[in-house]
Amino acid sequence: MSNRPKLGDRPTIPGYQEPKGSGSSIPVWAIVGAIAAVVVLAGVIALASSGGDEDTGGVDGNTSADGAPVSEFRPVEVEGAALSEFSGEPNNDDAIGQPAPVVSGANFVGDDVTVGEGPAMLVFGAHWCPHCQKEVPLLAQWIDGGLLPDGVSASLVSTAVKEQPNSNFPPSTWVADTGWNQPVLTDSAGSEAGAAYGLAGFPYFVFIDADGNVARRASGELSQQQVQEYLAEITP
Amino acid sequence: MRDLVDQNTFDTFNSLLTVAGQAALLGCGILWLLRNRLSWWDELRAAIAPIALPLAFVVALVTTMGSLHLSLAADYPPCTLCWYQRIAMFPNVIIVGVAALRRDSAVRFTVWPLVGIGATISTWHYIHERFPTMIGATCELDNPCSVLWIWKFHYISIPLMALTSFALIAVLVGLAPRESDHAADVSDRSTVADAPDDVAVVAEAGPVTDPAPQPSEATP
Repeated sequence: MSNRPKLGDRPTIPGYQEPKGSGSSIPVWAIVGAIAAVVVLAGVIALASSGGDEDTGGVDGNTSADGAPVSEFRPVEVEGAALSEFSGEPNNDDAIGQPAPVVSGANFVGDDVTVGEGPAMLVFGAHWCPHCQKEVPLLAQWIDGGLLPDGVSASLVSTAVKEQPNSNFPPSTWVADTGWNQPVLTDSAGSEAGAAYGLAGFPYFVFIDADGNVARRASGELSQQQVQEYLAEITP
Repeated sequence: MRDLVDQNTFDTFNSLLTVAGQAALLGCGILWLLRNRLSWWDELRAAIAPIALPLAFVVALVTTMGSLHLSLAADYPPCTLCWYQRIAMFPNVIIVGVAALRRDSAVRFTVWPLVGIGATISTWHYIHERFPTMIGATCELDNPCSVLWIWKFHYISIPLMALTSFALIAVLVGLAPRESDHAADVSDRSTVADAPDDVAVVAEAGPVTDPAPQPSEATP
């Protein structure tokens, strides 16, 4: 134990005490200078390249192809009590059987859209979420292939929008690229529609039966078979 | 800072530092591989050794400050994996800083496990970013770890910056002059506790920073 160094002890290590004896012909100042030069160079390059702003994000106020003003956020109006936050377990969900809230708002170009009236499948998607980026085009494809039973509607809710670089912003462009041909509700900046349905994790599904009650909620990517099973539960 | 330099410029600067760090690691790696053919590795190692711990401290400090800047000034919220990497990075400022003051190269036994864990998480995080749908099926509501806050030069993201810093720190603390370099075979088993004995032997043998004999040592 007596060998244990005290806090103030400096282990006597030759390399430190006699750096000149370390056998190097490269002086320390050369290394420090080289590092400093690299740092300065990095700063100069960063400043020089800042002129060309790489902001890839779109801006509100764009117009769609046919001239209508596009907005990534739209005010929404929620009727009815909000559902509890989804636990993640579709089979053990206290919202099943509860009346689903009805949310009125608009799509990206301002056309009125109302969701929550059954029988319906609601899909909540976020443009920045890779699992939504994977699932929504598949859903669009399945729906085009006849996934939806007669009388059952499907709507996409664009929510939790993040205006930041590298995030696949704006959602209006993303949704257009997914091939989604069903109605789209553009959630408010506060994601009120998402909150009303107990949104927890993306993508998020709410299946509403013909009476307007919640039949099933699920989060995460679903297989075509899974979606078909849930749709069968709400088919009138 | 935010008013003088916009965030994009700052991110580019940090990314360039990351590239420089990676270049340094690559250069060291190549020289190490060629160590039996060229004397450059020995030269470089001998030159870096005296300032290895201070340099490792600077890397840890810059990384920590950069990390705090991203969350506090740039308002990029740290995700779960970010937090674990921070846990493995931030303490190095104190641990390596104190070791640099005390010239205690045995700190590598503390630092290596820490940065090893951090580097593993960084690697996992980077894979998660590159192949986001490979892992899980659900995105967290607010701040999934797959969100790319910074993406520069088609490959640099925040966890890759962290990984580079972890690797630099690991290499630098390893390059610090060791108390037991005279017996490289057993050096990995030596600890601080038996350092004084080793040092006594080293002192007799003369300064040695590398097992390989060097010309200048032959002529003290």
